[in-house]
Formats: sequence, structure tokens, C-alpha cells
Amino acid sequence: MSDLLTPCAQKSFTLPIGPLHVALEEPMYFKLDLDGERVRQVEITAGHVHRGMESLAAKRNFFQNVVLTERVCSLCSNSHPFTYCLAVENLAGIAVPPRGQYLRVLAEEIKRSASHLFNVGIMAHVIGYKSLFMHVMQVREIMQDIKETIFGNRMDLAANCIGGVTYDLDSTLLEFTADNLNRVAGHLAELIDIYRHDPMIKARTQGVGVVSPKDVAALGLVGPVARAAGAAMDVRRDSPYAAYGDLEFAVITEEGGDVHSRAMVRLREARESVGIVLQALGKLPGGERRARLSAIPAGEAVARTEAPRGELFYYLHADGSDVPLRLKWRVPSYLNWDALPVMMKDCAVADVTLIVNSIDPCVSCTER
Amino acid sequence: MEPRPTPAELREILNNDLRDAVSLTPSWTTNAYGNQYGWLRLPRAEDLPAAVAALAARKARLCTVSAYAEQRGDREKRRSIAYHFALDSVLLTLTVRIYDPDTLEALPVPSITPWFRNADWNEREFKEMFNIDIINHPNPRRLFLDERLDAGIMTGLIPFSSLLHSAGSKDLWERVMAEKAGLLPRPAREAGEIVEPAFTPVERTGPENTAAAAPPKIQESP
Amino acid sequence: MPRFLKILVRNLLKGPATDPFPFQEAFTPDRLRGRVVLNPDLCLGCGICRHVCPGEAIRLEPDEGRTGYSFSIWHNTCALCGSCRHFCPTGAITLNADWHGAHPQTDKYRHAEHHFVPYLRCAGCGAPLRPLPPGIAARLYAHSPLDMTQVVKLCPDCRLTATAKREGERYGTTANPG
Repeated sequence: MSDLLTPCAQKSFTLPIGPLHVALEEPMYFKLDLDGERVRQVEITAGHVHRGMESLAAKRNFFQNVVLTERVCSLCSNSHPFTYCLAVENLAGIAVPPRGQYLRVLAEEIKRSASHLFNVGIMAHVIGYKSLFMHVMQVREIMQDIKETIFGNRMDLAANCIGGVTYDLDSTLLEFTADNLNRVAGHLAELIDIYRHDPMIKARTQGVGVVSPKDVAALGLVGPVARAAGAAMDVRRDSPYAAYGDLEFAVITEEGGDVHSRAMVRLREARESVGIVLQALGKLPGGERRARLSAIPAGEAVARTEAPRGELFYYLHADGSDVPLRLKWRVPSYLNWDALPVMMKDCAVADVTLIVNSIDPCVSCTER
Repeated sequence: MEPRPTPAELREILNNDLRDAVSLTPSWTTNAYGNQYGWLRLPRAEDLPAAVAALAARKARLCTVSAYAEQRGDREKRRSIAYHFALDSVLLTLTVRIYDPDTLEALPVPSITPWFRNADWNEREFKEMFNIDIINHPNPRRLFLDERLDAGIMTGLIPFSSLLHSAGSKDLWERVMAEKAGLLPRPAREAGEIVEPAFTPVERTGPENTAAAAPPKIQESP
Repeated sequence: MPRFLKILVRNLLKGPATDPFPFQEAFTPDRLRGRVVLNPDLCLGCGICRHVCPGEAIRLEPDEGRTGYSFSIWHNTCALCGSCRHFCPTGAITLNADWHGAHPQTDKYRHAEHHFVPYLRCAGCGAPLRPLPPGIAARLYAHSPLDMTQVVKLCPDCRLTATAKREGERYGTTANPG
């Protein structure tokens, strides 16, 4: 009996976590070497949902790939076809008309704020703050309704096409969107205040899963994970695309580098996104929504955008036919996974799920 | 906050660094938004470490690595690898050919993980997907694929999805058409008159259609 | 916590946030991409929808007697991306907001829309032909003195001949092609 009661804090052992239901319902397997309750080493095993999508992309024509890339992942589903279209346009020298550029920004930022709300909502869920989780998801629901009303779907917007966008807005929809975004802005101000000051949230998330600015550079981290450690990098500002060059927005940073800072970056960015959309609605130029298509020549092109989780990168190699020779993409999560062993070093087992969620991981993106 | 270097300055920096490292300078393209893209092909994979070391010293960031077959359907030979780097606002792609141009024999490629830690996953991925040998990789275990699968699967196997073109295969369409049970009545209308068709599921279009349709040719798999 | 209590009370007073479906209609915006629908009167049979469809959900097949073609949409492999609608030059394909697509597994091959789109015969040579939809022809020929109702009944070859004859008459020469 006394053996059973010996506190296991004295022992070191290996704990498997996953592959299912680590924070989100996506499979990733972590093997943790524990020393009592402290994590000493982390080994990540991926590959549970590898679908060979890049191989598939090299068997379908340029138009079909717009839809295929939108199905890589649901949370950043707009960023994929958007970046893919940018790569095709870079290769073929297509210039998207101004209205198309603004409408692209609009779709992207609506998705970003919804995605960030989802992540901070899940954070509340992981720490057991269910009522807050429900409330955040209900705020996100306003964004979902906007998406469904403008684009016809809650997740896959089908907004992008090569050379521009497929959708347009009339004055009724402009007003509808602006009204609802103002509602979201009010909720966001409230949520930022709660996440910033709530003692329960602070107790559970501050100082947990820290990455230093040095780690950010060494690991090549991107997105809110990097910005939460003070690295002011944002593709929208660093190499502007679509209408971002014309719009005013701040690159949000925090200094803590911990779970709490990452949540704060996301919430503040969500508010910034709402501001960008409202600006874009106000400045929406008239004219064509898409450029005329031209032949896609043989050659290579790259494109990158700031997806909700960070820099999304596309590489396209065409051989002059209507099917790409190679289409490769690298999602932000692909880089950020590598931060987990650093973040989890010496953390408590109870914080593992919280830290995993804090990089806003996307497994279906990573494995493609 | 110190001012950020302009794209033109960054181009010059990269041109100089690469000239010093491998005696080559990249060619540059620009897109509709004025973003700058550098492209450099290294004739020999042995030059890669020198070029990469120069970029690491400049604190460039590795965006990703794209391995590819130079010709469609080439399952074994003529692989190239494109390494994509970002230096602030400009992107640079270094491409190395990893085969002997005369014999087409595949050559190994040196690992760049010592300079860029985030090359680890990328290199492990192209190793297993394209069966490319890497020299001095610090952690050469599988990334996505199970150990029991052969490397080079990206081009070595015909994916199930391409077999079916990922969706409506001929077989499935045969079943759909078998269920069609005769065409809908042809509209006898004057050209020019447009009538919106109301959607009606096929089984409810009339008693003649509810009669036993031709049985599917192929038994449903269990 | 006190900050959130305020919200909690407010949300409690508001009552349920969910739609009581199926006892009441659920929120369905007009633009909802629910189901692909073809208007056969506007279809020209160009096949761009089939080309861009990522799921191979569209099938066009001429019938044996060349009297028309069948056009089928199988909803069960449709991704509802709307590419067909986007690229359709005549607006023949639309998506309606009907999202009630649930059906038993046994009906999966029947969850399709089938049309037969008949060819007209060219008024000149009798070749099979899909006429331009009147609305589009009216737009195309808006500034033309021609009677477009006659023109759309000709196949491209006969239209060419008709134009040559007409131009010839206008300039006083006699068309004498042989």
C-alpha cells in the first residue's frame, strides 16, 4: 500500500499525449519525458492526416486548384486560395483591379478575426472557463453570419479566383457588414478587457509556455507566436499585397512571449481586422472585380501572405500546360510546431494542452 | 526604431553577399505590388553551404524548401530543390540541381539545418517524399510517413485520389446515370421563352421514373 | 470574474442564442450556397463548368442522334464552391439557398439533377445548334441594325455566309462563291 501512495513526483516516466483531442480535435502525438509533474523533453510525431494534397494539386488544372487549396484547412481556408492566386498572378503578370484587391482584403480580414476569436475561445475552454468560451463563440457567430450572408458559407468563402474575386457587395450588404462589425468591435473591447485583467485567466496563462525573442529568430517562428514575443513581423506590412498598402493598421506585439501574450495579440489583432474591414468598406473603389485571364506561362513564382497563424508561403512551378508541375505550400503552423519543445520545457503536465492550443496549431495544414 | 532597408538596398546586400560566397548574383523579378523576388540557380549542390552560410550571417529567414521533379511523371531522376529565404521584404529562391546532368544519376544534398534550424522538418519531408539523400542531417528520422512505407512516395505511387481523380470516377458516374431511369421529358417550347426549372429530385418526377431503374452494373463494395 | 459576470447576466436575460430548428426556420441568407441548379434554356453546352469543377460533379453527354445533350449534376460530389456559376458565360448555372440536402444512403446516386438540352437546327443548313439565349443576344446585338432573332438561328458557318452576302449587297458586288 505504501508503494502506491509514494508520490510519483519522485519518478521520471514517459507520458503519451494524443494523437487525438489535444486541445482541438486534430491528431498530433506528443511523447513527453516527465520528471514528476515537469516536462523535460517533448517528441512530436506527425503524419496522422497526411493526404498528399500537393501531389493531387499537380494533377488538376489551375482553376480546380483554387478550390482544392481552399480545402487544405477550414480556419485559414481563405488564405490558401488567396496566396495560390497571388502566386499564379505573379507568374502570369496579372494585375488585380483595385476593387478586387479591396474585396480580397475584406474576405481575408473577416476570416482572420473569426479565426482568432475561435482560438482564444478554445483557450478559455482548455482552462475550464466554459461560460467565457461560450460567450466568445457566440461573438464569433456574428462573424460566421457575416460570412454566410456575403459569401454563402460559414467557412469556405470561395471568394478568390485567379485575377480577382468571385463576389461583390451591394449597398445593403455593405451596411449589413458594417453594422455587424461594429457589434463585434464592441464585444471585442469587452473581451480584451476581460482577457487582460481576469485573475483566473492571468493565473493560468501568464508565464506559461514562454518563448524568447532569441528563440523566435532561431526557430524562424511566425505570426502571433512571434509577435507575442515582441517580433514585429507581419507580411501585410513587410511586403504589402492586395490593398494592404493603402490601409492603416498596426502590427500588434506583446512582450511576454507566453500563452497570455499570444491570446492578447490575437484578440487585439481581431479588433485591428475589424478596423481594416471597416476602412476597406469605406474606401471600396468601383470598377472591375477581376482581371482578364491570360495564359499562364512556364516558369516559377512564389507568393506569401499573412494568414491568421502567420506567414503562408506558396511556390508554383508551371510548365506551360494548364496543370502545375509543382505546387508547394508551407503553412505557418509548420514552423510553429517546432516552438513547442521550447515552450514546454519544464512546464507542468496540466499546461501541455494549453500551450499546444496557444500556437493555434493546424494539423491538416501542416500535413496537407 | 531604425528605418527599414528599402527593397533596392536589400537586393544590393543579397547580390553582394552571394557574389562573395558563390561568385553568382541572382536575377530579380517584381510583381504587381512591387515586391521583389530573387532567383539563383546553383550549378552544384556543393555550393549550397557557402550560399546558405552567407544568408545565415545576414540573418535571413528560411521560409521553406520545395523539392520537385523537373519533368512531369519522372519518378526517379532529375530532382531539384528550391530553398526560399526572406530578408525583410524581399524573397530569394536558391535552386540546386541534385543530379548529374550527364548520367542523370541522383546526387545527395548537404543539410542546411546547421545554419537554419527550421530546415529540419523541410529536409526530412523531402527525404521521405522524394527519396533524396541528405548529408549530415542531425535528426534523419521520418516526419510524416510511417517507417514501413518506402521513401519517394510522392512520385512513386499513384495516389488513390488520382486514380479516382479524387471524386466522381467513371464507376460512380455510371451508377448515377443508371439511377437516372430515362431522361426527363423534353420541353416542347418555342426558343426564346425562358422558364425557370424547379428542382425536383429525380425519383419524384413521375410514376414512370419510379419504376425499377436499370440495376447498377457493379455490385456495391462492402 | 466580476467583469465577466456582467456579460453572463446580460446573456442570461437575452435567452437562448440558438435557432429552434426544426420547429422554426433556421437563419438562411439569400446567398447561401445550397445547391447547384441549371437553367437548360440558357445553357450553350460549352463545358467550362465541367472543366473548372474540382469534384467532377458535372457531366455533359451528346445523345446518339445528335438531337441534344444530357446535362447532369451529381450533388453528392459537388463541393458547392460555385466555380461553375462563376465561369458560366450565360448565367445558366446558379446556386440556390436550399440546404436541405440530407437523404438516405440508399438514395445517394439519385441525389442528382438531370436535364436534356435539345439542339435546334440551323435555319440555313440544318446543323445542330444551341442558340444564344435571347437576353444575351439582345445585349450583343443591341446596337446592330440586324434582326437578331434570325441571326441566332444560324450556325457560325451560315452566319458567316449570311454576313458575306449582306456586305456584298451593301457594296454593290454580287456574292458569287462558286
